[in-house]
Amino acid sequence: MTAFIKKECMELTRTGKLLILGIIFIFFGILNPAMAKLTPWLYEMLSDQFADQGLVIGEVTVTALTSWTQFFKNAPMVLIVAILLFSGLFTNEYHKGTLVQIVTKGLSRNKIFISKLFTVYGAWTLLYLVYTGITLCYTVYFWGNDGVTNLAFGIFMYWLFGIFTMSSLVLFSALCNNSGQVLLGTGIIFFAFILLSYIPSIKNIIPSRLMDGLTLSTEGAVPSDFTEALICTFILIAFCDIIGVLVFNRRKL
Amino acid sequence: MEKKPILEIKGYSKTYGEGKKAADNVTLTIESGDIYGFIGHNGAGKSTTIRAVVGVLDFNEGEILIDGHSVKKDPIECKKITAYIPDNPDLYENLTGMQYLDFISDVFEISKEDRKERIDHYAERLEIADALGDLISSYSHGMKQKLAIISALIHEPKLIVMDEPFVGLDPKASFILKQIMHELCEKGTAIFFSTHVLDVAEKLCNKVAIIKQGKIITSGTMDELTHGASLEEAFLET
Repeated sequence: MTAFIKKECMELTRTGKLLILGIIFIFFGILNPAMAKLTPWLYEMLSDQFADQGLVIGEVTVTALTSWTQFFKNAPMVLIVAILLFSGLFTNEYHKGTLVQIVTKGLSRNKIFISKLFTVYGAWTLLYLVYTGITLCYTVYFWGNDGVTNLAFGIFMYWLFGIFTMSSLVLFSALCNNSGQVLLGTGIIFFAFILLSYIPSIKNIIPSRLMDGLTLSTEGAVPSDFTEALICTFILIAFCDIIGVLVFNRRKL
Repeated sequence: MEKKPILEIKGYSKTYGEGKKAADNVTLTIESGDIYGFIGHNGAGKSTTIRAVVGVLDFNEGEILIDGHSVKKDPIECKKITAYIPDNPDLYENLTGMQYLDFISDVFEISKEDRKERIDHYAERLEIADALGDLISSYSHGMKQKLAIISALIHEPKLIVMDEPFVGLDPKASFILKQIMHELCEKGTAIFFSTHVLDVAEKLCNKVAIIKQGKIITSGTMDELTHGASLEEAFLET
């Protein structure tokens, strides 16, 4: 299995996917504090226009929380980019027929599936760490990190939501024949949970609740408020992975 | 050298969804040291049978044993002692030839010393040693086929299954591959390969099976099949 993970990492590097993702995650990691830093200047630039419309803008105070607000706003963007670039992880191999060679060499389908799953999990974790680390460093440098509570837990929850999304992607990769179908399936799951979050009776127990990490600082939420959503997400991750393995074991290569 | 069955196909049948039988009660035994030719028209059931032997195609009826291990019940053990060389070498184009061979060696858990010795040996013979540092995407079809052959032989398999192995190889490489096949058979390896080229089968194989519409029409030693005539004549008579 280590050999296959090593091969996957080599391919991620050689195809330039890791580089592209790295650049995008770094860009957004810098953008979060940069947007916060530039907010007063932007308001000042636009104050004349607002004044013409009768709007008066008072003094804008930027804190660490402004930067973290940007972090949670931009997190779906980086996740979507990762989904786009990982959508061909299995389907490219189906089209090229490369998995046939590997299956005939004694590497079990379970190991192939789990290797690819771990590669995606690993890449998402690494890139998310870069995204978080850059925002954290600049935020602490400019404003300190006062006024932000349970930040690590909020960051962890979004990471877990990303892991759930990656599990959905890998499940659809086992089910579908091309990247378009994988994107469609993963997109439907992603946006279905966003829509479901508008239903008050279930919004607190579905995975999309994990995207609300900022409420730990802004709305007085506490980690225990997310227990049901965390349990539900863990169950769904396990469900996606188990069904994915079963489907991949039976699919024609 | 004592002969023993390496590949036993017993009553193998494969039916596709529409009820079409691609293979019907195929029974064959390939022993150690055999070079067994599998001959048939396009769509006769050669690749369907080969894909079932190497474990990439599930089947409905029958049993396939490799050195006593069932392909269905013990697939990993079977694959450890089998090599498959397809007609179209689909390799990882973003790796170099050496990285690909290292990857395959890692899958088979071959020691660093053994893999170096075997890679050097086959790469020199197939005249691809200088290109192993290049990306596979820069290789011609023939070079990819050579790399696929090295990757198949690297773990010293007991059974080699080949689907049209000479397609895309230049005459010299074809000659070297035939030499390698003979050498391996002398050491007790069994080779089962499909081909359209009857001349190749006639010169290379000690046993042959002819498959038509999924059924084995005839099989046996070359003499039993041809009765002194050419294989082409025997094939056309079936």
